[in-house]
Amino acid sequence: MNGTTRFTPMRHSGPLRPLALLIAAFDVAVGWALVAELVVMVSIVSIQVVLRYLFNSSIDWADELARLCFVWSIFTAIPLGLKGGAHIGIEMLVVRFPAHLRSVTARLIALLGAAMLLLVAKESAVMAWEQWDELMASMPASAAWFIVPLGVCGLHGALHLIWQALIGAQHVDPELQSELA
Amino acid sequence: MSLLVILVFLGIALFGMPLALSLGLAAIGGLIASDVEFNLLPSRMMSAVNAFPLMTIPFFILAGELMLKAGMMERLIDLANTIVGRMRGGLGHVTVLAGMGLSTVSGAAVADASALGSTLLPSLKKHYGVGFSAAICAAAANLGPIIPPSGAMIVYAFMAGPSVSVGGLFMAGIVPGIILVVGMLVICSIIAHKRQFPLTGEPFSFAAVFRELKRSIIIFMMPVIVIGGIVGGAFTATEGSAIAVIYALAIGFFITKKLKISDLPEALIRTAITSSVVGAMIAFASVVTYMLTIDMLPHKLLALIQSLTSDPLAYLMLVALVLLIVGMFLESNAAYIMLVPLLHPIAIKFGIDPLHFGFLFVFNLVIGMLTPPVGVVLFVICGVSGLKLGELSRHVWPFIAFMYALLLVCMFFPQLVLTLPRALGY
Repeated sequence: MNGTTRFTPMRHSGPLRPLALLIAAFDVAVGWALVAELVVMVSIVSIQVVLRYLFNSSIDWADELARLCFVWSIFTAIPLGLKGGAHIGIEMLVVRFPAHLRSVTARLIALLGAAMLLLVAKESAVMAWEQWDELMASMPASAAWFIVPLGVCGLHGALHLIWQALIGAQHVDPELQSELA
Repeated sequence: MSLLVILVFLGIALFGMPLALSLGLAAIGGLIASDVEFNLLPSRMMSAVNAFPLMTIPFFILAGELMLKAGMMERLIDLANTIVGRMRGGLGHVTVLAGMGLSTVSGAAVADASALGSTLLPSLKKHYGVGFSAAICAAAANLGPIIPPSGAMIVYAFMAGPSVSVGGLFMAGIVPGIILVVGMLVICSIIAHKRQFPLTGEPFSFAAVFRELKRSIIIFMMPVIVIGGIVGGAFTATEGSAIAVIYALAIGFFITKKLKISDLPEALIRTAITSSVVGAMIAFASVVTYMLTIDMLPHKLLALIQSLTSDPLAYLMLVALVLLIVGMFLESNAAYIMLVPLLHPIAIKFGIDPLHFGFLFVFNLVIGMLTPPVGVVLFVICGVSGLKLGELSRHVWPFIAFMYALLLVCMFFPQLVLTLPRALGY
């Protein structure tokens, strides 16, 4: 992997190193999962078109599997966007703050965001647990798999924001941000 | 409660919180204020994203990424250069035509701005100076969401519901898109003559145009197959966008042979992250929209607007004014997600054609991407050119003025927007 997919462990020593490694491991796993999800989505939707026109048939579960992969890809990629500063914010006010106040504001904002994402993770876990016995419409799998990515997103995103609040840097990965731009 | 939700959103967003997360916090504020359980959060967020039509967003982004990696940009520039390269300000014209070609496969202004800026800006700067060069790149990039396929139109159609078809909205953008291209070429010519830009490029020759057209035909076949297939009913917008990805892969691997397997993970992850920015806003905004709906805000807004006017044209002007202001401060996807569910039903009540309103809405916010302080296209071009936002804004205003003039023309003459979709049965 290279470019945006080069999720090497954050170079950090000291007491924060375990957290850095945990986040890096999360990033790598999510990166490869995203590759797989998008490949499945493109393949399954294209195969449906081919089957319909060439063989006059279709796969019953194709639509549901494609949607499942899509939901996973959207929610699990959100933390990587937070890491790279891809999520747009209004900065015209904070850029006028003195450097110290700007840093404090960035940390507080990151903590507030982390708290919100942890709430999403908790509520998603509860909902997934409650729905575990419900099956999907066309596949023999739990419908809760549609909720699970929200929990992953909440936890992974919160870890990134907590990291940003702790290190108090410019709260994004500059390399990833420049590549995304 | 609606006021609290809006105030929480604005209050937090102003302190630099990403807009998607600001929407999430505003939604939580609404849930607490109205004593609704927090489990509404994951259920609505998941339902909002769990939609087959939304898959067009990553698919078209991926198709654009792959086409760029396949060397499409170079071919488009070569073709445009043989057609208009010798005119005064020729490279500016090339940028506009390359932007038009790019927009037929990508559909996102930010991606187009990045592609045009990184490939054309160095040569443009050498001949015309950085100000005009950056401005023409920004203006040409704004063609992306107007000429189909368009990510913005897909999000609009999704938020507006069944009264707006993606295919119809795509077709609505073609005529105004062509007028935009012609207008930008004219502005470029006027500025080039006024400032006596040097002549660049080879003299015009039919043989060279024919040769480059042959090299570029594979690029233009993509919108023909994909958009043609969607409009002709051969496949849905989502299927069409997946076909676009397969087509781009085939071009990259077998025709231009510039695409490598090792390029794919990066392209796929970039696509996923870019799509998730829109997806996050759709997910969190869906909870906000729900909170505003249970507070009857759409009904209150309708009553308020009807007490002000009963004239559809006055409503269109009012919406344009609101979007002009909103577009300056809010990222366009957030604006679609928050405002389409509020303003689109009112437009229907006023008897305004859904496609006409949809196009004007999209066009308005697309212009907003070129206006400071939150013009995302300006940000990208500033990053590529090293120009300050204020300086770029000074150079880009003729294009913004022309776009607003065209917006007014489209508002007063709906047939300009609707003739093509009507002719195709939308």
